[in-house]
Amino acid sequence: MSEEKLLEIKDLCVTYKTDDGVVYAVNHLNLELGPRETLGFVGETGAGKTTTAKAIMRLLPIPPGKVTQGEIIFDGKDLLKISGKEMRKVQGEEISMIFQDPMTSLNPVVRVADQIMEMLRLHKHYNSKKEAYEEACQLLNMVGIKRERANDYPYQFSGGMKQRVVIAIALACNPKLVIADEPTTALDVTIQAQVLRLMKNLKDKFGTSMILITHDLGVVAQICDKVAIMYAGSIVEYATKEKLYTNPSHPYTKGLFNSIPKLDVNEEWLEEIHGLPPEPTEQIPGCIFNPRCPNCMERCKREKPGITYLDDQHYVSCFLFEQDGQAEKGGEA
Amino acid sequence: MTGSNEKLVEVNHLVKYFNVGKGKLHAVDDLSFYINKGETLGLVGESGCGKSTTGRTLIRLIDADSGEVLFHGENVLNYDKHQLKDFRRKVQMVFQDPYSSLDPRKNLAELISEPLINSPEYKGNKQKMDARVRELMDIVGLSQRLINSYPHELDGGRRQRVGVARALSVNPEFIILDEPVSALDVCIQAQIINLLKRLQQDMGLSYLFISHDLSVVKHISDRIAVMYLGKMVELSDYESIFVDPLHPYTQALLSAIPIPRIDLDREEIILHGDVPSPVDPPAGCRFAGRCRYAQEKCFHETPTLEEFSTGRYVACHYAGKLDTLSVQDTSEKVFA
Repeated sequence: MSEEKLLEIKDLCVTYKTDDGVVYAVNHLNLELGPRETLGFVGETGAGKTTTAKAIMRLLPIPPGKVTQGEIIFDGKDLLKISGKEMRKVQGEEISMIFQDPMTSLNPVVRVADQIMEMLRLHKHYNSKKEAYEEACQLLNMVGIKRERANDYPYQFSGGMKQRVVIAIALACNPKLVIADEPTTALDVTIQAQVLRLMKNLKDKFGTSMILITHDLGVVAQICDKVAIMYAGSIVEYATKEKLYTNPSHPYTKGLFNSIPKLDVNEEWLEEIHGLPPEPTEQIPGCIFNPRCPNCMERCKREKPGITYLDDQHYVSCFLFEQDGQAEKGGEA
Repeated sequence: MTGSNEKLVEVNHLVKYFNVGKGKLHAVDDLSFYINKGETLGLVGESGCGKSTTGRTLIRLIDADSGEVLFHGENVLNYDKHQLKDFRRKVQMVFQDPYSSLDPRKNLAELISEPLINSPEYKGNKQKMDARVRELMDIVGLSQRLINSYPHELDGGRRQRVGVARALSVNPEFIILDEPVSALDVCIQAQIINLLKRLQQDMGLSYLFISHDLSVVKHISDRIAVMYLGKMVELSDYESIFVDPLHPYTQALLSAIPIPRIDLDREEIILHGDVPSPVDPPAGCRFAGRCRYAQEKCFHETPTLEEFSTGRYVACHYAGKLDTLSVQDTSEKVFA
């Protein structure tokens, strides 16, 4: 994939201990992200998207969460090995996060300018408070909020405006990577369009890399360069946006595309993926998608598929493609 | 999916204002439409445009200020207690959030049988009730082993199936679906939409389908109504609203839908600002402040919903003539 890597995740596994047993939230996840790239992380509820993001940020609740194996290499450092003190320098300054719900991710009793200043003063040095305030106002201006509103409280803003404030906080220290966890899911569609446009502009302006977590393949089409499709803790398909949208290959990816109601085609019935995603504590032998897969073969019930490269920018984890491409990693029995 | 020409529900000049501290909140402002037997009307709009209030006013969960709601030609708003009871056996509602609309302390058997408890047919007849519950579970695709489960044991899709089963229990003619799929994942969403369509075909139901998602609405509706700030701005059959939207708001709404394709080349219309407050809105077109075609007239005169061509209604002074107007750049200047 790309020569230069900003983020590399190798063989990451995350589990949660619950009363019902161990939840395997992320299983053997491999991922690479280059500078200035935007990666879309797509999957249903419980696919492990947010868990992966939290593992990168070291925000997993431990316990019950636990990273059982793997490495997360960001800018040459293994984020899982560095000390808490070093990690706090990375959080916010080099990697920052935009959360799903702006109604709950802002502090309701602190003025928005102060919330931005909190980030600035933690990571940068200012001679006076006024200087930091000035910069906070500039950041607000950048996301399209007038200076006069800097001393307002979050409840005085609409949902879209609040998400702009969150974006301003995330970009305050000019991070190398922004992880946006469903940034527009709580917003109305016309406001979503505004916020997406803003994020795209700012990302291009600052040259920030981004991981966009979403369940909406439409949002991905607008903003991402690469896409990873996650199902039950594993990446089942990974490709550049062009390749994934023109040639979706994994049966799950195809099912996902087919189940979206289309605006330009009149269809009587939507194609469904039958059944439900597995229970979090359920361990499925063989391919994790096999109980719902329309192309399920005998082999899928026994062996886990490895990764098959369709070309150097596109891989699937499915036996259907093993003959066509070369299997790089053998399946486990 | 096309319905007959018999009007089942007819709404005329429905008005509902809420008194809030600062004035009157115009939730539903002079709304008129009808729903034919066996038809689905989709009601689309953003948060706070009055879609849910409309749905709730129709079945008198909220009392309207004025206007009339005709069901089989009778005005529902004048019904007395007895008539209302009867009416509610024919009209049911499915709510948005299957996580909060089901009583967490009741199991599926109790939840699904609850609407039937007082019906003379089932009252005191446990066997019959049990058979009915199992029949309903079959109809909505819930496996019978779940009959003693509680809602917390079910995922969102199954919970919504319980919601649908409850609505179907009394054999209604008309169901109001208030954002029935917006809390669900896309694959589960497809399952529920297909279920609703199948039920409509099998039982000849009429739906009012309320949603903020135009692509979902398009899939299930025969006709679509678009609301903005308590007013209906466009009403038309499901095809022409997508091919040739007449109102500037509909155009913007359509253009804002993220389409999961990369080979599309379409004009992006990004609306400036937020939806204004519905409390004591100013005269004129409610959309004028965000409209890129807005003219002097739009700020003074309120446009009414008028027939543009057969079956297509729009509330815009310049409908069909938008091409002749100059487009104002309302896009945001972010880096000023």
